[in-house]
Amino acid sequence: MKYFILLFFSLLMGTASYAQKKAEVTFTVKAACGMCEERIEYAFDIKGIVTADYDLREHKLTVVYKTKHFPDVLDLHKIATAVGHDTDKLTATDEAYESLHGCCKYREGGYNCSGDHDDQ
Amino acid sequence: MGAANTEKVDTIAQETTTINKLMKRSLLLLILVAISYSSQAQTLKGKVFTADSEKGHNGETQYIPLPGATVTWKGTRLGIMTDVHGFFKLPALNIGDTLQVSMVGFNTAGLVYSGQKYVEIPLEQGVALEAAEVETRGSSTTISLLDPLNVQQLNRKELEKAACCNLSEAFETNASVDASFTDAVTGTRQIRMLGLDGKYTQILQDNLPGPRGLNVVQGLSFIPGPWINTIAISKGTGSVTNGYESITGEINVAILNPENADTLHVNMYASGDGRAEFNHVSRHTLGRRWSTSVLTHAEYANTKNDRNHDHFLDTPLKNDVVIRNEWKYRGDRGIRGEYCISAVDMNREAGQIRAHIENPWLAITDIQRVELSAKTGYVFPEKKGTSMGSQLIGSYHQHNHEFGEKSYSGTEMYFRGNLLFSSMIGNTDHKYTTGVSFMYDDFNEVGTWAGTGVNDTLARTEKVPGAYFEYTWTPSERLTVVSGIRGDYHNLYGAFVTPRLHARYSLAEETSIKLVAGRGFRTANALMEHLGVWASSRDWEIFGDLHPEIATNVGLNLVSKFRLNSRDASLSVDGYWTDFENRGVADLYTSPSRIYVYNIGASSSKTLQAEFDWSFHRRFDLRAAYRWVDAKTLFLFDSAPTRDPFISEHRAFAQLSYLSKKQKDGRHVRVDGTLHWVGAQRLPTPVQDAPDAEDFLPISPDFYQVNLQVSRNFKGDFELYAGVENLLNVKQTNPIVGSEDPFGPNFDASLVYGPIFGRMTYAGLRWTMGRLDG
Repeated sequence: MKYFILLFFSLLMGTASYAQKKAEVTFTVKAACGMCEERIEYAFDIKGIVTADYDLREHKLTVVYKTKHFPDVLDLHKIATAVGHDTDKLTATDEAYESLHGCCKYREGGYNCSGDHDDQ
Repeated sequence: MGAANTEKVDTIAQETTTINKLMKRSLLLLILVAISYSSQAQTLKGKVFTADSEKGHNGETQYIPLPGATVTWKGTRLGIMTDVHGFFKLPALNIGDTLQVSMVGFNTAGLVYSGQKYVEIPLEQGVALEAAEVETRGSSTTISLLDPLNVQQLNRKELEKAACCNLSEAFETNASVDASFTDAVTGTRQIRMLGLDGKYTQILQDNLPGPRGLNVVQGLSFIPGPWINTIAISKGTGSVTNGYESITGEINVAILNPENADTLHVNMYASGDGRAEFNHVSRHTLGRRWSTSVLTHAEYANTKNDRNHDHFLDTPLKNDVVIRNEWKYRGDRGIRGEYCISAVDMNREAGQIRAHIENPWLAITDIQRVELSAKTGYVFPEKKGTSMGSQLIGSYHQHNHEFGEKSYSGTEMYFRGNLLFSSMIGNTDHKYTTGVSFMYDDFNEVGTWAGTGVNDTLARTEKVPGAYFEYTWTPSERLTVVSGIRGDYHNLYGAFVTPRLHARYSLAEETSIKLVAGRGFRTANALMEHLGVWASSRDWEIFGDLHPEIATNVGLNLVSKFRLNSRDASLSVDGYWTDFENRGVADLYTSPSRIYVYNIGASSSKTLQAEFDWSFHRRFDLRAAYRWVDAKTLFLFDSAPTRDPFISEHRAFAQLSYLSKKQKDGRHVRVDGTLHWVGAQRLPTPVQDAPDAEDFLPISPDFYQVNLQVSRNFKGDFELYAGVENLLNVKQTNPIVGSEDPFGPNFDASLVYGPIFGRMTYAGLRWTMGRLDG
């Protein structure tokens, strides 16, 4: 039993010592469907990002990140534009946008994707 | 054939599925062929429906047709409203055009037209309803904050964390259900909930009565893990609609069905103890109304393991086959049906190794079982929230076993019919389900035990008509109360009433408190329920007629979901109390050479459990749980209550899971490690004058058990896994008392408190075609 308590606390301590300065930010990312949501969250699955949660209805992305890795918030916007999604501050290049699957083309309105896609 | 395939593709596409490329190409070809034949078709027919967020009385998703939805060809003025059954008819346009469907309160859906004549379009409910739900993305075990029942839902991801081969082994990663061996020879596992045997938990299979009666112990091993879609564990008494038998809980096992199974799934498994398994699940769509699934399971073990050199097999020799075939019907006008047949053939041999001993003590078990079930439901299209259904199930079960010189033969014929009607009074704040049921259960058991030369025949036929009413009241978003009552008339034991109550109150948005209270009732089959005792020299003595077991259960549960260090975490604390009015107990304390079975009133069990889940890192999940049980019974010859045997007062559990970042093509690695700590258990009095009696303390030592599994996905449809069970190689010393003389009076293989086999490695593969969950 005591091993359990020990294990538990060592885990707690372990993560506490990791704890660096964190910040939370919410900004608009344009998207069309669930497939876009997956793409955006996948793009934010990188070092320095604690959590990234995309709300498809509100078109809002909430990111908890370590300020050491991203001193400039615009760097976060760049992650979204790199995979073809416009934000409220930056616009994705046409090249990145064109690489999106047809049903994810939010600039043309888009619609709910159904089924899977080869480029997923 | 072409048309059938076209529709198959449609269904798959709508259900947002993944088909592997090869399959897709060949189907595409078929579609093109089909289209060229059907290019004359000028009209497109279709149906718009919604997946009802309120689950049907079968606990399954209901599809409600949506009248009045607008269907238009995108970019044109061509459009129409759906009729009262959700149907529409439109001129067909070109392949590649988009059909847009919209309705107030629902998300607008788009569908790319691929030339079919009939389409089914599901609409998702809009913002207002979904906002209330708490999303637990990627979590494989979920507890709902809204469900008034304290239900813990385990999905396939959770089940795949252990080498779970069948339901009896599926609870390895769960803190609420304990699993242990019945005895040291047969390898049979039993479960316990709230400190009481699994027989007090009602096990449902697709919301129909599952393992019960003579199948109550062995039945768990007839539900193979790879067949299972989800397991819902609810503590405390269940809903009255499912009968009067649940006392400590309800476990509903949803088997993969023609609608949610993958096109083809194959699982193979081999372990270091010489056990090999093959499982297969496949699904076929036959037209747009019928679909079918075929499931098979074969298990074979022929390796003679005797690691502790007691000349007894550590694991039984097995030869088991289970098959199941289900047919599902989804009519256009609200009729749905599920019809199923399953069969079991089990042959096992355990005991002394034939080659080593001239006249070996053997434990041979043979089970044959056939089960038929039919569920039909009708959703009234004009009356919202109104449906009716019938559930019929019938089974024939034959169980024979020979343990040394003792033998048992039991036959059970079972039938249950249940008619349900669900509706609401005024609005969805007041919903009710009412119905009638009838149960027929015929038992014929013969037990022969050499010691006393007794040959006992137990036979009875139960006929129980009953009626029930359940009312669900939702006065606000914060409160839901489900109160139910049922009355049954038993032909042998008379009338009895079963009241049940479930309530949920949300203290805050992410914290809810749940209350459960109810009464349960069951008839006992002592010879089968204490299966492990057959593997001992104890002789059976049953005092008089066994009355039905009646108990009251009350429980309180608190669930809270919150963020810890910016990451999702949840804490669940609960306490339950079960008190028997009458219990058919097996008294192993009074005499070492007897098992006395009799009625007793003074028996109760109290439990407390705390469980903490935390995704403390993007790729790591942690679960820790602790459980305390105080189960006591006042046996006939005692003056004070004694702790129930084989129940550990304290138990703790921790699990650490790692999931790597998924590659673009779906490849990933998953590692799961679990640690159990099982506290001391009270053991029945050791056999007197046994030469190794000092090895058996009346209290067992506590022990740890560590399991580790690694699995790796290749391109999403192929997965390899390997693992170690019982990494620390913990073994019960000398699990068989008197193993030198199994026919003698001191033999007892039923005193099992811990693992017998020690460390075991295993490996397996899963291969899926046409994966449905992406």
